[in-house]
Amino acid sequence: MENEWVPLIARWIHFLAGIAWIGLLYYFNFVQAPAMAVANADQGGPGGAGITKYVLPRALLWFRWAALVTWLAGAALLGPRFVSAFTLQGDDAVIGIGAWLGTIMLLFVWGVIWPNQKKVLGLKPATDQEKAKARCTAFIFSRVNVALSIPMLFFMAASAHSVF
Amino acid sequence: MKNPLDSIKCMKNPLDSITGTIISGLVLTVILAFIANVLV
Repeated sequence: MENEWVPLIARWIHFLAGIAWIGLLYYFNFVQAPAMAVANADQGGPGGAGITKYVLPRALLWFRWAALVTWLAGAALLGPRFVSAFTLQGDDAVIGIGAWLGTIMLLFVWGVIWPNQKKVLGLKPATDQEKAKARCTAFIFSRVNVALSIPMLFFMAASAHSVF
Repeated sequence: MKNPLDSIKCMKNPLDSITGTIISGLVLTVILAFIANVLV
């Protein structure tokens, strides 16, 4: 009985944090980035400064920590299958591909997107040129993560079905 | 006042558009599915 509760709780947390992470990723890419482009082009409009100042830091806070919690809960859920999944052994190769994609996405969040967003937000000193470069880098890696999320979610789902 | 960062454009690539990003993700899914089929 007790052994069943641990993976259930891990799966529950994995879902909750994963929805927060990927939901915010899709918000950034499908809603905020296009809206900011329109807001910045809207001469005489309110602009997007309020989004950058008040929304983006909070969204990024939830985004990066949800990413980490998702990965940790996923690792706990894999349990004894962790090594066979990450070494793509047998049937565990299916969830393993999803796990690798999720891991790469997590590394992009903490290793690329967040350090560059800190420059954009002014939390880390940077010149205008460095901020512009950081914005482009954060944008492209955010888009890469959207692209990676599509196969990642496919393989997460596929691991529960015998299609391979 | 115009933000000086707004005038700087990022390098063009297929991931600039949402459609291009989704298509890239779907293509990657198909490629990885073939790989998974070989591995399992």
